[in-house]
Amino acid sequence: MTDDRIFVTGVGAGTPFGLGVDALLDGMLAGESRVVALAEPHGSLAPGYGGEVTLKARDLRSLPNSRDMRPGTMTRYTFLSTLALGSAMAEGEIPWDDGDGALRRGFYVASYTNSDRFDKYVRFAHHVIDKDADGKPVIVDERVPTAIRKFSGFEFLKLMNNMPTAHGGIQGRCQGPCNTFLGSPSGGLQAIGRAKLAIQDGLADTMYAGGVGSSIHPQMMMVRATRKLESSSDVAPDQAGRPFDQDATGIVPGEAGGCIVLERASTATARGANARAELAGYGEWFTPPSVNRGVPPTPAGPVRAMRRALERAGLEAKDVDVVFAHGESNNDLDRIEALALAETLGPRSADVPVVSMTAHVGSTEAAVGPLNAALAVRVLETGKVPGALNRGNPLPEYKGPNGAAPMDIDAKVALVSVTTREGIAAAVVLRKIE
Amino acid sequence: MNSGRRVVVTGMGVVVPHGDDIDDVYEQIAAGKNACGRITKFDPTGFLCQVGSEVKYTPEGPREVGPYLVEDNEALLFTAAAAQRALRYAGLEAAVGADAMDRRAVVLSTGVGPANIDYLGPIAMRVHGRDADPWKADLASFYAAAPSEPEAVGLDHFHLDTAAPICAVQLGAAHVYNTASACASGSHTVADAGNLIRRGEADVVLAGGICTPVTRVLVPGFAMLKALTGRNDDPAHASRPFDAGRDGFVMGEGAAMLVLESEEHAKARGATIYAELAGWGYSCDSYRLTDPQPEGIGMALCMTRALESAGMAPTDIDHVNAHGTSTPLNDAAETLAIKKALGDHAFRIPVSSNKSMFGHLIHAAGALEGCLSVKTILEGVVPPTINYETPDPRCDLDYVPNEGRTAKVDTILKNSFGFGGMNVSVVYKRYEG
Repeated sequence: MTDDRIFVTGVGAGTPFGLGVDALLDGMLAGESRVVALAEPHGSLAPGYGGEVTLKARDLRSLPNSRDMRPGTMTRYTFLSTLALGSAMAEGEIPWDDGDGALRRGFYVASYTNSDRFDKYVRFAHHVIDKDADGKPVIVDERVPTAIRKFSGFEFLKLMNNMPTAHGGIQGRCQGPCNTFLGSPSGGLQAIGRAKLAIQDGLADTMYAGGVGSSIHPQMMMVRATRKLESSSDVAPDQAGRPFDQDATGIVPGEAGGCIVLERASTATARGANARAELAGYGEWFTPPSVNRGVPPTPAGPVRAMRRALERAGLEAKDVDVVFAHGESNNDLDRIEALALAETLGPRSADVPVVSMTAHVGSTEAAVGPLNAALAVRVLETGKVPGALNRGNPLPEYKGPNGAAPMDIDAKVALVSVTTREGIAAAVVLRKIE
Repeated sequence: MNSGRRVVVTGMGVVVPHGDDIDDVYEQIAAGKNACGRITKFDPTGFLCQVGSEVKYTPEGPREVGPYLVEDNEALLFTAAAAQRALRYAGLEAAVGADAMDRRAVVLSTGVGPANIDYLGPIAMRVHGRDADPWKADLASFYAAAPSEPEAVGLDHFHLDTAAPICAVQLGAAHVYNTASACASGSHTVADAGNLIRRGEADVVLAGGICTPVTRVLVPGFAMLKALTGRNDDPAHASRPFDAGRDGFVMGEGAAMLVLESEEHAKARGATIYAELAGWGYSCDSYRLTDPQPEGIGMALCMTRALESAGMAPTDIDHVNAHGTSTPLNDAAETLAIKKALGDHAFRIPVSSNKSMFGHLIHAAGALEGCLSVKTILEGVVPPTINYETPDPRCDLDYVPNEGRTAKVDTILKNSFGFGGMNVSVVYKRYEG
């Protein structure tokens, strides 16, 4: 084990605002929302709108090592992960074709996978279903071999949940530790936290770490609609994402990928890299929800995660200049997150700006943590903090600033936190390198 | 990096085709008993692959864990039952209180759960009726139809998001990781658990995997990829790692978990220590999505890294518990890689594949084979590679053909290699206090 400091030397993103973190930050600083009405067939799914990434396969061509990318073998999740990783590699000027350097590089990414060909699955399921003598639905096995031929074998490989990592391992020439984190929007910060430890454990010198999500997927939109977790169809799309706001009506579908490049300080210094920030601390905590698919009963979990991250960074709540939060836009979870922020920041709560991108791009699942970490790096570099969009009627539990206008601050420490409905909370602390 | 605390195995729990008692499962495996057969969960007539390795019993175990209902989902049922068995084996109760929970973690790998077509089908039939042409039906009206709550639960279960939290409630853990590296996953969780304990972040980690891929979608889907066996007329002999007649793997299902602990924690509570997790190594081929690097460079790299992590030389290894999937590409590449990593010593030690008897449990495979490795050290019988009939010139090691072999085994190198080129090797060692 080593206690070498860990620097962030590149950040990347693929979001509804385009390729790169600057596009996202500029849009947020301008107070724009990219949540818009969705085209059919997704427009038929409640709520009918979302924050969609409009980048295409051709946009991969500008990225490092694009000759090894195979867009036809990617699900939406892998595509978004590839965009984010490529954009981070480009900014970090990582010498990915450096021979033995690959031995000391790894990639951790948080992702679900869902087939892009959901339409085919629906038709497949319809083809093989029938009614039994009692009128109950039953699958007719003999229809399966014919129906399955509508797919290619590769579509099932694409569906494996480690495929974003597999593509990234090839794209980033990683021969060190590679893994996929699943199961919760906090997975992206878990990927970052574990990547930090992988370097400190001596498993790698450089780690790409990120997350990807696409909550526009029809299957999950249908599930959320049944559970009444989705935002209302009666709200204007650009008004729908309302983190920490009493008028929020639910999750706004969105999609994105985010990634950061972590390097051992000595490695970054040796190659003359632009060290943009230090990843100073990481913490996490699991508290089961009170009922399945509910929310954690108290803010204790996220409080512990944030305090652990600060403690490991050698910092205290009073040192935090800006917070990047989840802000799911569901009152039940936002209340818990707001209480956690207030408890963690204490008297500083009223002064520390709390940034949430949900109002701008919707819910990006496991991408939210890495995107927020990437934004935090930029804010530490530029001092420009986006305002609070669609937060005109804040929850009583929310104690932070509420202004819609962007701010200029001398930020030295950023706290990034993701509180989740699954109960897994994670936090990282980023510090300006002085 | 071998500077931290010692990591030991104190518990094992499985729900697998051979049964749900690891001691009994090992006895069957050491005796070379096969569990692969014609698929019975559905009628596979006409499928390219009709062979599977199924859990044909309902395990006793919790039907409800904290806020989670598990009884309506076979995969979660296997998860909770395997975790319960592992914790009982270890003599552990769920931790209570934040300080105690802070020292415990779960690292679980999950594949996919029940096929979502089981739930999509009824919705489609409700919306469109039976007579509409499925391939031309209007999807907009399907999308506009809200699933019933049970259908929503079913669709949601596809991702098995609650599997790791369920285990965390059973263990009383404040740290939960749900990860996936395809077929390397099970050993990956064990290695990650080793890191957590070695660096002092946790005292107890429940690590393992769960996978239920024997479905109407994944079996024919992976058969189309040419990954599965087509030996439908002889299912009991379909899984034949390292044999010249191998033609693909057999999909298996189940859950397997190990309790890993710091030596000091295990000793302090008077636990029985079954083995030491001495080291582990990771690598990525960075080569192709489906095929392993044909010279086995990435595989050899992770074996070498595992030896370094354990502070061992190749000659310290007594046995290799191979990944050995029974695919033409893997077994040849793995053989090359073992020789690359261990040199001439590779020819002097037994190398066997447990998958010859239960197929490939994908996300759970490495954990199950890890449990069997621990039992091999304790019981002194190296499990055979069954169905080994015709040597393949590219596979020229001692694969322990068809009969288990009595031997004193102190150290085992366990390999797990995944689609996408993710590789993990771990070293299990006889515990000496």
